[in-house]
Amino acid sequence: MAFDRTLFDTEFLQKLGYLSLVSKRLHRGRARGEHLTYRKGSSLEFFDYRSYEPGDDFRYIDWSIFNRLDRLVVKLFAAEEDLSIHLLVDTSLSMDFGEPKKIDYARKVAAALGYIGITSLDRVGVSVFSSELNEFLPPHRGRNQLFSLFDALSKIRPGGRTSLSRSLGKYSLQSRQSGLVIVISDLFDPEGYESAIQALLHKRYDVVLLQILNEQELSPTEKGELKLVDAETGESERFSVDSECLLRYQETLMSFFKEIEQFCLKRGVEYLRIITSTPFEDLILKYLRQGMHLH
Amino acid sequence: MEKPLFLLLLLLIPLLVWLHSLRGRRREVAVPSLVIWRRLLRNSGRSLRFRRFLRNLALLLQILVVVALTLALTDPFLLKRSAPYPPHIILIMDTTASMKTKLGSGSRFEEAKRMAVRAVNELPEATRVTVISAGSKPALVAPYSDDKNRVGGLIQQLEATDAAGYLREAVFLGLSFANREETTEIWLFSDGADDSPKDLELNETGVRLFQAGRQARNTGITKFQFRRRLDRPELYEILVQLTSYHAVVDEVPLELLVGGRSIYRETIYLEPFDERILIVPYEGLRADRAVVELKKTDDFSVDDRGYVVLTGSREIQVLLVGPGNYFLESVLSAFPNLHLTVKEHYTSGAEYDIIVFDRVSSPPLDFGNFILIDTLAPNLPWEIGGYLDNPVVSSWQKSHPVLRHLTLDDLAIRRIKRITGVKENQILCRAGNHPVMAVYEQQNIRVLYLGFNLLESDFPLRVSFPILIGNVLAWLSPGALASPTNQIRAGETFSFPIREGIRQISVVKPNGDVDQIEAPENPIHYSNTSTVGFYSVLGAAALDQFAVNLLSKSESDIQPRYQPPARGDGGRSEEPGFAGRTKNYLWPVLVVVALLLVPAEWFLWMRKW
Repeated sequence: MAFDRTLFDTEFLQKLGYLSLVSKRLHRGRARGEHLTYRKGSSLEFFDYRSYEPGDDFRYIDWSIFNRLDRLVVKLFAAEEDLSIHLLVDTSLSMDFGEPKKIDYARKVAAALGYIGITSLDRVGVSVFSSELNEFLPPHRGRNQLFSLFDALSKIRPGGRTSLSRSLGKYSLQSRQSGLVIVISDLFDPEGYESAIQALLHKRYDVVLLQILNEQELSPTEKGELKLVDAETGESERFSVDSECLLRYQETLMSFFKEIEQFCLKRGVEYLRIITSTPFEDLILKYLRQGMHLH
Repeated sequence: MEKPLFLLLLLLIPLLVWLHSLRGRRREVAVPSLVIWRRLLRNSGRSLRFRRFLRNLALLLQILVVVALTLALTDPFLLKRSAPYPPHIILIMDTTASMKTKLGSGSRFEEAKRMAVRAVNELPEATRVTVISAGSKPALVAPYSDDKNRVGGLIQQLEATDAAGYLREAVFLGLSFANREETTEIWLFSDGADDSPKDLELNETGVRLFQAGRQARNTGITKFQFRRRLDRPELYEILVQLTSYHAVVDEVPLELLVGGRSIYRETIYLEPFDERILIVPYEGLRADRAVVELKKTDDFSVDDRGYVVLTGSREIQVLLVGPGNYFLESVLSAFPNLHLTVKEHYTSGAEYDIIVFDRVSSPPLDFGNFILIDTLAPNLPWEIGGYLDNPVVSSWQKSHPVLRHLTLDDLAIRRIKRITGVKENQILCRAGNHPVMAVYEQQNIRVLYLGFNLLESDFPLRVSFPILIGNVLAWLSPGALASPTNQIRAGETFSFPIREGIRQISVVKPNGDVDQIEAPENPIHYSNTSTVGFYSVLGAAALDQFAVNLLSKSESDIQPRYQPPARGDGGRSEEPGFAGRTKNYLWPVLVVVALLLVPAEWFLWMRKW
């Protein structure tokens, strides 16, 4: 299967190999494919009790409790599944911005995480979204999936507006395999990101939020009488930008980040803010060192 | 605001706005999202709008600079009373003829009255006002009055005259009313068509001029005479002088009428500020009225008509009684308007203006004008007390009208009569203690006495002799030798003799008003001549009419000669209608404001955004 080698060149692939090795060393001792989920299943690991209901398997009735309490309860066991990694990449027009472009950086990050996941025998799928959920590669295991993943990522073309709530909500309804969802986006959605994350959490996904930004967004330098045009919507706002205005912009941006951090902290969402000037392998290593998901 | 045309410079403002819009055109900058920027707007919108306002402040300041400079060029001013009103105001109303110049629908004088009444009404209650009218002679109208209504009423009753005048005398009269112990201001309401305001140096004398006049057009009659021809005294001619007082070529149709009949018509062309003299020979009746009229319209009508009374037939009737005196007869015959009658014996003298008794006995004198030569009248209070041979004239009254312009030094006289009873003030010329010449004046009699025989002296051979006779004739019959016309300038006093016994005469003025004069003195001095035209004298007077004209070059020049200082005079120049207040020009303030705004605008303009 062929994919765009200008995006995923040899050097990039070498780095992926290196990252894979590093990740294995960091998580040595854990069995492959042994990712417990909190779904009820048939493993030997006890998970919980619940009252007996007609139709339940008699084999799981806890008779000792029945003897002591004269109540019928059945034992529940945690399901033992392979980890499914869902890479959700924002391809709205706002991602086609900066040097390097955020979309390219997101592509590399997604490829790296997917590569690590596949080499860890996890199921890895990728979807791209803007205002709608577009490409959808279901999670699968195996080397062929790696090629499919790279192919899907190389075909990404930025376009459309960002609508996290609609696209991620749709994904949460569409996907049948829970697992780890890694959302790679700049989170610049006028409707907000909160409802989208809530929808994923509601479907019991573990959510990792990677916010990708570039230097121009963090520290704009243009001054004067500006007509700022939204790359996604074409809407514009008039500003008289001076140093004071830029300072206030920074304050507003920091406040935005703070809100995201608070939101994620309250809901157990892992959040990482990335600047495109940071080498992606440094990001991956940082990601792994911080003990974030993948294993 | 004196130069409103400069307001057109405000059209620069749209240009400024256009230039500003070019400079302020916004650059389009693409951003990935407006999410953060819109949050910024929500959180700091007010502050950002204020900064946008600051951005536009440069334009606002530029507009203000243009407005300030434009207004400065239009010369705006505020009216302000520069100092408190003094307790005493002396208000002088110019009533000279030039105040009759047209101004709008009225005249300069009406405008001056309106300004004066308004100024009086604005005065505080305690301020007292003295009103003086300044015509040919200044006159007090209202002294020291704090009744503003009364003063206003008196001002309204004033009328401009046809007379020339000099404001200087009125100002001096006003200054004489100024109390040294209190502050006094003199307010002069005039058209400024007089040199007096300039001469008075208003700023220094404390005189405030309220000018009610502007440039005007006038061509007028400045001379109008009926006179004998010098080469042929039996003939007469009429002289008219026209003067132009404006800077355009003028075409003036002129008509001369005698007794209501047109005798001459011509159109006179006058260059700017030109003078033309017209002489018309006249051989008609010499007891009529002549009028010259300019058939045109200008701003000043008083000098458009001239009036003269033709009195060529009026001659002095002189009776010489005596044995004969060649010298005396020759001199008397030399006067052009004198008719001499010589008799050896006196019979009656009622029809003679002057009777001369030369070396003959005089009858008692009770009425008339007489010259007694080497003789005395029996009813005079003087007596002859012998003779004095070879008298030497020791002194004479050089200032007396009879002895004016002559000398009696080294006068050779064979002898004089010694007379006694002559009072000191009656003696004109003396030899030691003895009178050589004397005068006697009573109510109806006037006598010159010469105490020696002319033929026994060298006096008839001297230059002083005809001068003496001329002086005597003028003294005994004033005005009779001066001119064949009865004509004066408006405002002057006209003197004329009346016959003995007349107790009342009437003078009918040109407008039909009649002045009654009771128990008149002889001669009558009539001074109510403020209107030009013919005056008729009724009541058996020796004179029956006379004419009054303006005939004043300075008064016909109706252009205001005094221009109040334009600005910065500290409150001594006034504009019509702004009585008691002065102009505070605002242009310096506006220029300073503009100069302050320019660096502020520069700072905003150069600020890096």
